[in-house]
Amino acid sequence: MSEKELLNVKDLVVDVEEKEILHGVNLTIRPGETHVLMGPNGTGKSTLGYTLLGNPRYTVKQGEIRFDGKNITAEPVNERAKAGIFLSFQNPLEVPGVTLSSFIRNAVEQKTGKRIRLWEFKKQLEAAMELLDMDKSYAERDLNVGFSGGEKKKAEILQLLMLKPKLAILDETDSGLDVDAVRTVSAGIREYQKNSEGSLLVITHSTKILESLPVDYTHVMVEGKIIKTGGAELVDEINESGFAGYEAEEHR
Amino acid sequence: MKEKSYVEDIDRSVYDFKDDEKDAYKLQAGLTPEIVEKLSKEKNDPVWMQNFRLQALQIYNEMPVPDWGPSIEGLDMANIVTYVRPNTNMKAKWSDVPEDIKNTFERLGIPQAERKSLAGVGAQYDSELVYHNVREEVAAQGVVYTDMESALKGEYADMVQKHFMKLVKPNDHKFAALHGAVWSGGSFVYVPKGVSVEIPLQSYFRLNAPGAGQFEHTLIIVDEGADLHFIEGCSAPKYNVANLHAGCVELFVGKNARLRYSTIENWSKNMYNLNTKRALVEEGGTIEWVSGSFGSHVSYLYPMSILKGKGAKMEFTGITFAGKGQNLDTGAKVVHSAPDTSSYINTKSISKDGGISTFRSCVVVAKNAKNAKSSVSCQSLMLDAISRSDTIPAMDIRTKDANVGHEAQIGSISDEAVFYLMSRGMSEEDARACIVSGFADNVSKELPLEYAVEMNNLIRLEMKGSIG
Amino acid sequence: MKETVNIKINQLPSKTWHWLKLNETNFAWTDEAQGCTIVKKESTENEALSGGKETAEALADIKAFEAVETGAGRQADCVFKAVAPERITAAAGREPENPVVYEISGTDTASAGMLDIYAEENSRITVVERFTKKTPEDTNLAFRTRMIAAKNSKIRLVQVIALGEEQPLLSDTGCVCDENAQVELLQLFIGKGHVYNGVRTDLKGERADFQVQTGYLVQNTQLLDINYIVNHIGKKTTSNVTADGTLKDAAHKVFRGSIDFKRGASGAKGTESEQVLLLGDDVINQTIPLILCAEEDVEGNHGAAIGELDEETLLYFAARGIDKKHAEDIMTRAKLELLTHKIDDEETKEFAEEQLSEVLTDDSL
Repeated sequence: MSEKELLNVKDLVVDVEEKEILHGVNLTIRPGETHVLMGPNGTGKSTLGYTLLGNPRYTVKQGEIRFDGKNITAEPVNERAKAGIFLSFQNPLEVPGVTLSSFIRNAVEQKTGKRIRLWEFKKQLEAAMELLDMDKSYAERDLNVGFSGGEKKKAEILQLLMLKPKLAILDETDSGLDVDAVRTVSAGIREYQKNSEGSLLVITHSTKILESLPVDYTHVMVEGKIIKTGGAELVDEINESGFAGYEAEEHR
Repeated sequence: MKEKSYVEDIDRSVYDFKDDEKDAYKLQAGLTPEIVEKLSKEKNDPVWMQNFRLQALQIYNEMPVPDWGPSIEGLDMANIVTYVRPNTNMKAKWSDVPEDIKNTFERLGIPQAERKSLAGVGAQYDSELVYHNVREEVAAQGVVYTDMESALKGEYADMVQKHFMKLVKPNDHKFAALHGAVWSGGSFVYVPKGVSVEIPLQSYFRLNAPGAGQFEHTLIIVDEGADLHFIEGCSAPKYNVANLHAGCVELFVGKNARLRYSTIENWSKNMYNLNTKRALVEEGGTIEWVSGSFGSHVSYLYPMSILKGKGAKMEFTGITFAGKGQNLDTGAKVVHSAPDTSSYINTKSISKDGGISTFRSCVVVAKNAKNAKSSVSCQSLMLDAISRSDTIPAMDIRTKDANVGHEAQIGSISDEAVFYLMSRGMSEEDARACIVSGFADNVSKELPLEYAVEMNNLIRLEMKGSIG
Repeated sequence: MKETVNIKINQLPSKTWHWLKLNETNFAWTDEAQGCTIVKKESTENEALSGGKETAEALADIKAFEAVETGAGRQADCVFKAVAPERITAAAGREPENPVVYEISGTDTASAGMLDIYAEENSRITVVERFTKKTPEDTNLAFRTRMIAAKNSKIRLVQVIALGEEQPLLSDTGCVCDENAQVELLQLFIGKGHVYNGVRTDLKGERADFQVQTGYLVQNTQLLDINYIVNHIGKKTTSNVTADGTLKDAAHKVFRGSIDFKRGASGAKGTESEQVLLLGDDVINQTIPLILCAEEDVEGNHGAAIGELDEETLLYFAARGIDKKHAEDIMTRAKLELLTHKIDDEETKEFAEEQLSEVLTDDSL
């Protein structure tokens, strides 16, 4: 692991519809690291994910987001995506008329700024789909149209593998998946880290997906603040006793 | 097979009564420049107003009757007595109002509303204001609430001249021209800068004499940063001769000001209600319309909002209930002519017993109205197969930076819903009434409590069957 | 000398404010129109079809077709008065495998043509009409398609309209559906000229069904003037109209869509939805979706979304590094490709795809 910082979030205060949700979040992620962000429902975890991506609905009131050595706090979403931030959506968009394959190809070309050879792209896509246990026919189906919940999640991870971002933020990617699907999705995530030396920020309120991922840091978020940071052992701790203790601490 | 509860015509005894005609003065039927001049003289109009009336009359005579919307063939202008004046002058106190007129209002429940701390009652008996009382604290805030005739001659004469029929010009349509020629009575309200009128101002209008037309003019100016809720209520006794109402409402909403204009219209079911209402909204200002149409034989009513200033907003909430013999053509118009403007139209309409309701609207977004947002939602309920319900919404969008949404639904009361309520012990009639009340709650939620109660009673009455 | 006839077409079934200029469209036509060029391409496997019968029955059919009302309306009859209609009939109980394809283009003067499609009981037929830019410039083309779908029959009509600049087209369609008959209409407007498009369907028989899918790209100073009228007459009749397209530059589009539930059409359902993507600085979009209703037990729905790409779509595209302009191009193309994929005839599909690459100037995939 390098000492270089990939993501540096400093004192981040964020409003949604004029209500303050994040009250000063600090977070540093270095290349190749896996961070887990845990916490009870409605505590601001997804808000942090969306803010890092730059969703215009979330207003940064204070603080700074640095990515890859650059202040990106004011950058639009597509520039952040091109710079290497990826967010997996909980409910990805359905687009009739655009196939999964052409959508990914478009995104890859936007990122690299050049046309890619069709056969090469196809080969890579098919390999990634095989890893994710996705039927090849999905490549030519319209983006997310008629996909089941699990298929949508896999389609998101497929994009992760093809786009090879520097930082992948996985927002509740494991929710609603059965055991087999969690295993497949985890395999996809490990493949991403192995090939691209990518960093991970895994947002979850359960621990299912973490069983097969090597965790470097665990952060606990309660009421819009990261109140505790630890190693992988913190996951087990929360597994056993939940968040109750932390919430109590916050109110003391 | 579905069994339907029989829905009878509303019991109008509460509303349909008339006083003996003791009119001090009545103009001859028909409309000529002579009549208009006479009317103008009788009213002691300023010269500009007399000229205005004559010009409007000329426009009236040149303009065609609309060839869309409900038929107004039953209307014979030559036989309509245009102006009726009661034999009483302005009264300041309730106790001074003549007994028979007072009885009329008492049966309509106005004094009760007054007692419930409404700001003031400007009630129009036929064409003149007979009772007028603005609460002292409102007047103390600098709020002017007076009848139009006084306003035309008083301290605010210049303001009136500057605004009178500038928003609704006589050449807008035939009945606006008619209004310009023969208007009489109505209210003038001026709310000065920054003043927030906490209690709603209220005005009742009613028609009384057979064949009388009513042409009241309402002019409201809400200055910068001010806030007002104005309530207009109408009720009229029933006659066999066709009655015409061609009022005009002009609302000027200043910068960052807010005006809510609520109306529950319950004219008797022989009325031709050809009313014109319009608001001009400056930067950051808001106009809110709440409109219930229950009465009249024929209605043409589409309050229009012109969003002239950046960030101006309009909200329209309406309900129309068309029963036997009624053809109610109602809706809203909005013109977005500045950036960041928004409009929100939500209407419900109900048709029963052969009644016809039409929702008609238009949303116009001009080229400079960048980032305009508009949302229109209209729902119609058909209560039987002999009624009719039409939806005619138009959109004209001329900028790409807009967001315009529209949804419309027409349907009937679902058998499942009735069945469900009956399984909980309700009679079918009550179940249907309950569903209709629920359907109308977009409007009742927006009304002051006593009006919401009155509206629900109206719906209940309309829905009640002959049994029990 | 040729005389110009001015007529009113695409009238709304119920009028509204005149100042909106939506009640009808003015249309000019030269009085001396010739027949247009119609090339019929038909697979020899289609035995179940006949071009026209010389029987008393056929004469009765002609009367029946004359009674079919169209979307442009009766005033447009004068445009087609000198035209002898082509006729295609699907024999009772037969289902020809391949679509019948017509390539339609104008001559060097104003020209008009007609096609009558008759689906006898229990038959199925697919007809493809391809309007091509073989039409010379500065000439008017008008084409009327009349359909009668008898009991339990199904007609699918695909219209690909791709005329060149300065080639105005009046496409006027009328349809009558008997009991349990189905008519599907796919309309793709991807040309460069002005198009006046009227479609009226009378769902007369019980459970008759009408489905329309429309896609368009209107750009430069093009006009697309659409009038759909669906009359629900029979019980339990159903209809669904979906129109989805993009306006660029100074394009002008008028969409009139009327669902009319006549008294007696109990159990009928009609839905209409429109999505318009506005991309040009000088676009004009006029939409008037009517629901007229004289029956209690019906369901009518209309939905429209007009304007920019919605925030959700933009966010998802941006999250994958795709900017707004590019997202708009992708969506414009997607709306159209969704329909080109549904064209039943390979040659016409290729034609549509070629046309798309000509009119879409983006560099997306």
